[in-house]
Amino acid sequence: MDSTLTVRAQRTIAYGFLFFILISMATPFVWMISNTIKEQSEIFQMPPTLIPDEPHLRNYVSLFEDFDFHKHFLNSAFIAVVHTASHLFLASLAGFAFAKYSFPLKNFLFLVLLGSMMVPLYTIFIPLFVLVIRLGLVDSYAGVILPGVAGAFGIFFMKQSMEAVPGELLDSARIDGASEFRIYWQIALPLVRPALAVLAVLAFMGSWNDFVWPLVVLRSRELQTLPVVMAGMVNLYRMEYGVVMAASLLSTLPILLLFLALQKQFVQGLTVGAIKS
Amino acid sequence: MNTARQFFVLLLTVSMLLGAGTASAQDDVTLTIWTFGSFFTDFYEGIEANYKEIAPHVSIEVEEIPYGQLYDNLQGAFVAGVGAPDIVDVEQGVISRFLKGEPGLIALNDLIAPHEDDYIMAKTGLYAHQGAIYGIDHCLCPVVLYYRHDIFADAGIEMPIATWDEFVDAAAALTEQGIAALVLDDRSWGDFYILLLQSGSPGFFDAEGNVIVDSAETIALLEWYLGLLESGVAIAPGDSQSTYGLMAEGKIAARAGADWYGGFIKNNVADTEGLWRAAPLPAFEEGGARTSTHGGTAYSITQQSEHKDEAWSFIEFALFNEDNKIFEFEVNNLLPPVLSHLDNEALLGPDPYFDNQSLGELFLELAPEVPHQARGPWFNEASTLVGNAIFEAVQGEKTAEQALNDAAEELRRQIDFG
Amino acid sequence: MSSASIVEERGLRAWWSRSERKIVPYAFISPFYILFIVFSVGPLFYALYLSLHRWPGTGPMRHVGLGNYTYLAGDPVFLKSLWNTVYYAIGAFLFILPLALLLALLINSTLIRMKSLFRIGYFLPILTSTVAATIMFLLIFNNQFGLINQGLASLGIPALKWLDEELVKISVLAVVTWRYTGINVLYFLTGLQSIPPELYEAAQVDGAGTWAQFRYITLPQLRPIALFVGVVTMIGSFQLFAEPLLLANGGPNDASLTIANYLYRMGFTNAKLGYGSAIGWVLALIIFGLSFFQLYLFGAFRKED
Repeated sequence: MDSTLTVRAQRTIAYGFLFFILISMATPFVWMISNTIKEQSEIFQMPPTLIPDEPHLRNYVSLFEDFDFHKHFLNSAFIAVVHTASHLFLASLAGFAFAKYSFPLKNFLFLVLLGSMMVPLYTIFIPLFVLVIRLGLVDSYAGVILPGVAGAFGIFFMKQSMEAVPGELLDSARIDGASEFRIYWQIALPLVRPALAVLAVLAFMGSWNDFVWPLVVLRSRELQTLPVVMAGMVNLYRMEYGVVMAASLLSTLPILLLFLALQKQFVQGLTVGAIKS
Repeated sequence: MNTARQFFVLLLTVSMLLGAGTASAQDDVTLTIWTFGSFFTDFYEGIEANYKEIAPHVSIEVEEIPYGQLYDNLQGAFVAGVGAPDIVDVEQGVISRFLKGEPGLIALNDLIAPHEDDYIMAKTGLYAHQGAIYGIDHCLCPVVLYYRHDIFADAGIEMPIATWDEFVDAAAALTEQGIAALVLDDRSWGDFYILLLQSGSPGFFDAEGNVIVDSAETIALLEWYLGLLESGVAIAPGDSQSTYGLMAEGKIAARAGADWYGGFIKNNVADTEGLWRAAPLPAFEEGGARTSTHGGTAYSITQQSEHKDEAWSFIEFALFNEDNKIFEFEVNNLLPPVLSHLDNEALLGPDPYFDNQSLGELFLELAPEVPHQARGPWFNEASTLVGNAIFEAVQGEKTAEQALNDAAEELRRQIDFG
Repeated sequence: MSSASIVEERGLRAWWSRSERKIVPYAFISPFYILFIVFSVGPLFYALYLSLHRWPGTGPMRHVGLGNYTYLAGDPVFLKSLWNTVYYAIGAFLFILPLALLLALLINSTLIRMKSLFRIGYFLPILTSTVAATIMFLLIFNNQFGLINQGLASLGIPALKWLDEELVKISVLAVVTWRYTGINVLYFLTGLQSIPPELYEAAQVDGAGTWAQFRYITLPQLRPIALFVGVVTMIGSFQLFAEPLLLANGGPNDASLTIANYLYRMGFTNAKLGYGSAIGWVLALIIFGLSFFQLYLFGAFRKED
């Protein structure tokens, strides 16, 4: 930034840019909200309307009456909460190990871990499906949660954040006789809270939106998750556009709430000064 | 204790002597059905109670899986050798992959044979390979010409029109006003295939399974198709939203579509209520077929099913019981492929959206003309390639002949590859 | 308690305190590897086996050696999908990452308030269900009536065919940018947050300007997170599946088709399990090679300090 620019001008430019991007990104979303209270034909009306001619809540009513939204919402919530909690623990633990220890085969094992992120689901889809059937995991929440609970992505992410934890801090705890697990739990973990908060949102979102895997594992309608039900609303012969948008809007709420609850953590940062004292 | 055990053994022996057949027939049977649309689910759940009265020992369990994923799961179950349902609703667009190798579905020829005179057998070609029929359609899906009667009347064109030649001539009056008489796909095979079948071709393959994508008839039809687009008789908006938009604006006067497409027009162009009617397709020559078929979903039974007989009995009940088919029509607007049902009054009522016309009467009249077709295991490959060929020809990247020749060559290469 | 067992316990303790740091890391990482071996390695090798055969999923398999792989090298549609995928990946690196970094820097700067408004606003797209978002974008890109073309028309610019052969990849890229920029902003923000403020304070004391601080503190300190973001973006781009499929069905004329779309078309729609597996393996190898290259560039294999 040019130093001749006044702070005021800089600020104006910065806000202008941020708002421009914000509006471009929010437009489809805002439009989607307005589509949830429209007739099907008005959704496709051109030019489009932002405020519907005859707003109504029938799409929402249909969502609960015809599609048992609440039931599937709870299914999704249960899976997402269990997945997120377990994933945060396992990923930060492994990330800590990769960031703060040196051990034989570390580089190789880390490469394997990265490699696991690179396996496209559809490459292994059929074999995986056969395996799930053989393991008897079909139609159980364990089958949905188990395979992805220690995902490589989260470990990689936590490793990158754990790198910033000062080694001296851990060593001084060791001198005080703390066990390695305690060092992880009481010293490292609190320091990477911003990263944990981000990972919590991501893990929750990943589980909440996951579609292909729960679909394969969960057969019974009672157990099915929201994305599976939503996918059934728009297909070759059925186009419940308004309903699917209403469902999409409502299903963003839990992640949005989690995001709002945790976002203070994002900005807290690593307070090295506080650590030193 | 001992006496009790002896008694138990005796009981077991006696029941075995009485015959396992009798015992198992009285066992409760649960038929699992995989389907992709909630309207199918509603249909099955709606007729379940009536079926309980006929076959008290049979229960129905419907698992609704989104379209697309359903068939990936089915394929997975065939590979795994376990996990497939008893009955599966196979949509016509996905059947061909299940006809490769040793099909995981059973041949239904002997089972449908008693109904040959009543069931419209032209619909079995979609689900057949080497003479074996692997699916029995829910619906007839006859194609008609949906048209704006007000626009045609204003232009002084009297509908219905007997042949495509006359239709094209008449359409000039509309083209002058900036209205396209027809809407066609320019990037997929759907509309072209409708017309190909109507013209008397079995489709992309002949009855022996040979590729006929590059036959003189197919090339000639594509040239004609391109001519419609070039002259402005037809327009290719490229996507369904544009199509509905142009329909609402009155820029599109007609479209060839199946029974279910009428429902799409209703839902997406609701403001034009009362302005639409339906007519037979103009024929390619005097006295030629005035309809085609588009879409469909079949009942199939899997090899893995342990209750194939019960499964067929249920399908028979669902398909040939007239009350059921009428109920299904009410639930999902799919017209039964059963001749004796088509004259049911419930199907013949006037439809206010279509200017109080009885579409049912039109469908009844056209049903015997629904054309045969041959598909088989390579249909997906063929339709993808033909879709691309149509696009290349419309874009002017290739002539119709070049595009179809290339598509046919690539198709044969893919079939050889296996 | 006997004295022998006390000695033994002491011995055990001494051994544990000597070995704890050697054993513990393996224990910490083991859950991942156990699940990985069961749910990925096994299926992956089965896929490798399949890739040496032609098989529609039922009936006998036909062993063809490397036949699927040689066919792949001359398959025009595969090559087209490869090029499309590379195009998306390059686009992601050229558009998404710089944009995300810029937005993160702005949000993180002291100039800006309402930080949470921007964070949430940018994050909204990825929360939207893919199906719902696609319907919205089909309306936005629509040739006849779309929002963009109406906007262009009001400026006197003729309508463009956003979903036709020439522009469809750009449209897909726009949707991908819309969807994934926000999450990358979040990643970069996490990275920026973990830079100790003391570094900047010290630099300011030394008289370093904004640019110098960015160049010599921010960028180097962002390295770990930049590596993460780079690798994740690359992997994500090469596995791109839903957007081209829903927006244009991979078309027209395969112009937007990705490798993952083609894999699916072959392995599932056309039931060529062997050929699909071969595509899957080639895709995995490409991604692996490129990730390895990125890690190498960032010096991830250099000896730990």
